[in-house]
Amino acid sequence: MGKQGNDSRNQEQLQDLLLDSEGFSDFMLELVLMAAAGLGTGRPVLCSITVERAGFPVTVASSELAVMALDERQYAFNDGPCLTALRQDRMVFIPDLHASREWGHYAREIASSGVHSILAVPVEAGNGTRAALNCYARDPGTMDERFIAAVEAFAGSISRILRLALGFHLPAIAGADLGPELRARGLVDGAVAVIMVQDKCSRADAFAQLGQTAFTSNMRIGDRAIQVLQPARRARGIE
Amino acid sequence: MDIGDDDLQLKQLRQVQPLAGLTVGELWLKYFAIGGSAGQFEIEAYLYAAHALPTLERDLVAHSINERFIDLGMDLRVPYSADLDPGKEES
Repeated sequence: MGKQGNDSRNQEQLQDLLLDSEGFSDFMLELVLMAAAGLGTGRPVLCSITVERAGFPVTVASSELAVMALDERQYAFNDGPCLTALRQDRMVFIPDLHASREWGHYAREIASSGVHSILAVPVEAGNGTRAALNCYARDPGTMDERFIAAVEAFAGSISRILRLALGFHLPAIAGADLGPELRARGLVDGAVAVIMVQDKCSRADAFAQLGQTAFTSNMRIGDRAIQVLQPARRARGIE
Repeated sequence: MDIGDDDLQLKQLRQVQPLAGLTVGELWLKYFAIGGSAGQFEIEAYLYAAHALPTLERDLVAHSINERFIDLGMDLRVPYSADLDPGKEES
C-alpha cells in the first residue's frame, strides 16, 4: 500500500502513464460515443478528447482519423473552439459554423470537412491538467438540447474518473494493475451519466438508484451498469 | 442519520472482514471500481470508526465486501442501510 511521501514524486509519471495508455483513452471515448449514439438524435457525430499539459495540447482519443485533423488545425493556430473550452473553462457551442463570425477563420480552415456544428465541453481533470471533450456534426440539427445535456453529463463522468485517477488516489496504489478497476469504474460512471440524462436527476440520485438496484438484487454494480449501458451500445452497433 | 444503525453496519462489516481476505488497499480498490468517492485514507479511518461516511458510501463499502463474497461463493452478506432500517429514506 502507498506511502504518503511518494504522492507528489510519482504524480507526473503516473499521469504520463495514464494519458499514454491507449486502452484508457479509447475506453473513455467509447463511453462518450455510446452516449452520443444512445441519447442524442442517433445521427453520427465525430468526437475527440483533448488534454493540455504545460501549454501543449494533445488529442488523446478520437473517433475517426478525420477528427484528429480537425483538432490539430486548432493546435496549429493555437486557437479554436476546443482550446477555448479547455483554456477558458466554458462550453463552446457553435450550431452553425458557417454563420459564425467569431469562428469564421476556423470555419474556412476546415471547410472541406463538411462540419456544420461543433460542441466543446471542458473537462476538469485537476492537477494542472486541462481537458475538453469535442464533438463535430455534419448534419444540421444533430446537436439538440438533449444531445448537449448528454455530452455534458458524460464530460462530468470523465472528469470524475480523470480526477480520481490522477488525483490523490492514484499514487496510493502505484505499481498496482489499474486496468480492470479503472475500466470497471468507467462503466459505473457511464451508467450513472445515462441515468442522469434519462431521469433528469442529480448524480447522487442516479448513483443511489444504480446502487439500490444492485444492493437489493444481490448483483454486482458493474453488471447493473452494463445493463443500463446496453441500449446505448446497441444504438451504436457495438452489440 | 441514525448513529445506532451506522454502528451496527460497521460492526458486522468488521466481523466478516477477515473472511474476505482483503487488505484495506484491496478493499478500497474494489470500492473505487464500483463508484466509491472516498479516498483510501478515509476508508481506513471509517473501518476504525474514526471517520463517518455518508449512507451511500457506507453501502458501497459493504457492497465491495459482498461482491468479494459472491466471488468466493460464500453466502455471507454485510447488511445495507435500508436492511437495517427499511423505513428510512435515503439521505
